[in-house]
Amino acid sequence: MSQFERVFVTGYAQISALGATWQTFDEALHQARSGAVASMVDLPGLDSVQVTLCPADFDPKGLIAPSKVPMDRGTAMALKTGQEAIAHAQLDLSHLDRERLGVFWGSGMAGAGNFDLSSRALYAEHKRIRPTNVVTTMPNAPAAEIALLTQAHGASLTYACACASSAVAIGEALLALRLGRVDVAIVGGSEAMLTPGVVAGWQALRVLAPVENGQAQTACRPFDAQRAGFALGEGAAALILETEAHARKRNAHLLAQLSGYGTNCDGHHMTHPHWEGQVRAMRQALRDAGLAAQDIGYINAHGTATQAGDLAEARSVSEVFGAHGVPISSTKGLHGHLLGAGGAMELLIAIRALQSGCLPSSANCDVLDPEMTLDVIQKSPRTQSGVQHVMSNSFAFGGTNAVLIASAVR
Amino acid sequence: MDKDPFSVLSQLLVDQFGVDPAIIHREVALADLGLDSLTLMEFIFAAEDAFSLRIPEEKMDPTQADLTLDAICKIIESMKSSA
Repeated sequence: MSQFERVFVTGYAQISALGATWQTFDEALHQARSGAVASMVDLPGLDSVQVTLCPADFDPKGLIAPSKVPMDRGTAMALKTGQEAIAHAQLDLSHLDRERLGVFWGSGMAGAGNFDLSSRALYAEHKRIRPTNVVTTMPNAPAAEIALLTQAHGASLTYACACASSAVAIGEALLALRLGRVDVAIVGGSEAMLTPGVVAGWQALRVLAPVENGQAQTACRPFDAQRAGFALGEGAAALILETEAHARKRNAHLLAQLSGYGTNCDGHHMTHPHWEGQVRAMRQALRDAGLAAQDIGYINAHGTATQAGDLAEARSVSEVFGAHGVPISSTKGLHGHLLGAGGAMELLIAIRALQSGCLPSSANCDVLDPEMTLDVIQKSPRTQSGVQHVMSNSFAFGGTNAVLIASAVR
Repeated sequence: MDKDPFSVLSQLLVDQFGVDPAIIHREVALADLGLDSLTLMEFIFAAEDAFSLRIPEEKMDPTQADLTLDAICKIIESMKSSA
């Protein structure tokens, strides 16, 4: 809003199933090439079942933590994306006021992978617990390693709001930047939970897309009439946010403005989304950005491909934007559901769409659910010039809704 | 296979703790290699795993500030020979 200083994105980086380079990442998004693979959950006491996972293109070998303690896979991803986002922003750490540098990070189940594997080692294999197991497993380890790396002395905060975690982290960083608490914020989210016990937990909840005829890449089908759940993914996305004054003073390349944030809670059900809460969150973000619904040119949907989730989002989006009122897609069919890292990853994808004018399609949405009145981008990406503002939705278990709006640089 | 403690521990320091190989020698204090109380515990844990042994607390205090690499090597060698 006009009384606050504007905040810009000056760098970003990602790790996902869509490839390590921007070329492979963009190609996967534009060609709707899914990173999903079929994987067996095969544990004693459980029925064997094949599920869809999206493992990230990431090998932590050779990456040493600033703390020098072992890292959970998610922490390693966070550190790598943090490093790369700083490089992308051409941020010279030696010239930063460290007291005005903050870290705002999100993860739904940070450390869960390490906790799962160390518990299995302890209980099933009767092995010792590592001395640093606690600090490797604690949810704020990703933010702590990034803060150690950068010697950030401003706020270092970790948000755990399930699927909205990193969207909330980014939004709260926006508020801190506007209030003048920090000048620069390293923001984002990470999630690495593709270990047997954690995957079994998600499978038990019956939200993972089943693999039919060995076809994992088409298993996750957001907004499709035949959708049946999501592919559990892993990855990280980091962005550098700066106040306008700070960014302009150092002649930073401005990639997008982070212009709006809305968050609230359904207060309704642990897992079942409430479309009314989503409507309020989207309208709050629009008000925050000083925009009207018709100003938004693309929405990267939460779109988890569950029956109830997509239907609620279709209803809330139609309520705010009108029937078929805005191009929308969910990219979760490609990179999977990154849980707490999803908000950051999907904002990043929305920003790249804003920069390129190429709006990614909703992978595997062959037949739109007839109950939905959405303008879902189907089959192939849509090239649309003149998109000035994009929205990213994150609607979480626990009822937390978070909506971010990014705008073209003016 | 008989593993030389100094070479194994040196490799651990390089691979897992990012220590510059140029500053590793037998008489160096682990604190001078950048290992603090937390990472020292992790280093001893990794060393024990590498040699499949457990160093009893009375043989070594991992919080001892001037603990040298050579001191750990000697403890491991003595435990290997008495095993």
